[in-house]
Amino acid sequence: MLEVQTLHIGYKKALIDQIDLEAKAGEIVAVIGRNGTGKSTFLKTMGGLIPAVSGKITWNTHDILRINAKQRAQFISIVQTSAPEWTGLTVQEVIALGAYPEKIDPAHVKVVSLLSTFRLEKVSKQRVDEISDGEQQKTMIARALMQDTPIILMDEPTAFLDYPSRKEWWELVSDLRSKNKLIIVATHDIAMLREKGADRIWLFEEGKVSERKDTPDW
Amino acid sequence: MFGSVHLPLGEVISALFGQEVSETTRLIVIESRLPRAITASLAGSGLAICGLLMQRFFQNPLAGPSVLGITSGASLGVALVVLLTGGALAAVGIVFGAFFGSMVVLLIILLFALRVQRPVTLLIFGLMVGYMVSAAVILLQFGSSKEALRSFVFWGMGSFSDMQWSEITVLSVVVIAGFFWAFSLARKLDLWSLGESYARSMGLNHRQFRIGVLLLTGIITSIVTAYCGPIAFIGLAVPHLARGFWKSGKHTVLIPAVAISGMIIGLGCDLIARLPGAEGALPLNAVTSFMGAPVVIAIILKGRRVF
Repeated sequence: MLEVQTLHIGYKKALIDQIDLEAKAGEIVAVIGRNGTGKSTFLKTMGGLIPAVSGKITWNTHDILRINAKQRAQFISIVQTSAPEWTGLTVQEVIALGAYPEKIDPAHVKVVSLLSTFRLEKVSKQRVDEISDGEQQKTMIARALMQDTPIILMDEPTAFLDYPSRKEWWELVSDLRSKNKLIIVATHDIAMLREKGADRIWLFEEGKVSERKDTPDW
Repeated sequence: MFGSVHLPLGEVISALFGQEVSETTRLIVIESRLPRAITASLAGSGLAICGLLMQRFFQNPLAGPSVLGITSGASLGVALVVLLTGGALAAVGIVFGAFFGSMVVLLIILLFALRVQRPVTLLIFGLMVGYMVSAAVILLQFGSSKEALRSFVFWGMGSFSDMQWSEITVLSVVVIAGFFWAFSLARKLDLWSLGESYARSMGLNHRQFRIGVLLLTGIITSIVTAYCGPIAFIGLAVPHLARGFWKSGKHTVLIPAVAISGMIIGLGCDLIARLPGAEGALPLNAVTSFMGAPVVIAIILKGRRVF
């Protein structure tokens, strides 16, 4: 169970003063709101990339804001909007790297199975920075699954994708419920959210966050 | 074999294996050409490793060992020694001047690195320190004698010559240890290649990693520059060559690949610098740039991805 308690986020001064939220394993949470309302800041704070101004985030009994990068990597993985620009690593190498610090061969059965789940077999030996945006996003999610964390944070992962890729992406992510993962995804794709649905919707507005059941009429 | 004095291959081999040859041949091979070849290999290898680390750390294909301002620091150290003493100090003074100058800059960079978040801020800082230090060097040049200026300019051309065996020992310890240190960072560099956010979210201690990469690059660059002068282009060009040739992004492959390529290119540049056969040799930095630039252009034109 994820609990966000009296969390204040922002850079030098608080962008949002008090966030209190909760979510459970096996849920998909959509984080929505206009640009600049703090969705990315919230995800970055949770992912440990920027410090929280104050407050607490716990996963079961673990305080995930007050642990080091190595410990946090066991609880939270991230998927960003854009894939790496200049890596030179192949799709299978990136997925295998998800097991870090454990060393896993790119031909390992776990990697092969993820390649097949995400239908990436054909591009498995191509460089990640040379495949399509849709394939890149799938590679980065497969890598997050290799990291095998209970929580996966995704920051506008479908922003650069066309309609069929977005649809495929939402279907793949919906299937992750069965793996008992908590997926928190910031998105502007309200149309797809209406079509596919989420277990919770966290609406970010100027200076506050609220949970609601339905998508707003934008 | 090649050089201002022509020696047959057989004699060179005999000299190398300690068989009886004329004293002149022995001196040329053992005291001049062999140390130069070893220096060229080690310096080329060391600079190429630093270039790879800097390009990866800053995620920028134009980065090289000189972006941290360390080479400029070495120049300032040498300028202080050579220009202020009127060129009277021997080679030892130059080595100390260069090493001290680069260490001061490295210290400033490390202190700054502890305070800033983004690598690109550090990149700009390093370049700016480099410019400021270069400006100080120009001021020193402006007020110095002709002879002093001449020896400073010669140092700036770079050279693999005039190395004592004791100096080669220091250089080899630093470069070989640096190679293993870099190799131990290989998987962390793989993580870093996905971008800083991904690397940190996958468990990389980015502060420790950053200090490690800067310290490693700083030490190798300082030592090589102290002994050989500011060698241009090898550090920037060789990683591109190695990536093009080995076609891998994995650093367990790239680090040895770059080390070997750096060795070959270092030796090749020294060989070309000696080819004219006449008195002396061409300035090394002219050769490295003349060779390096077209190679990088050729890789780009062949459609191989550099960035």
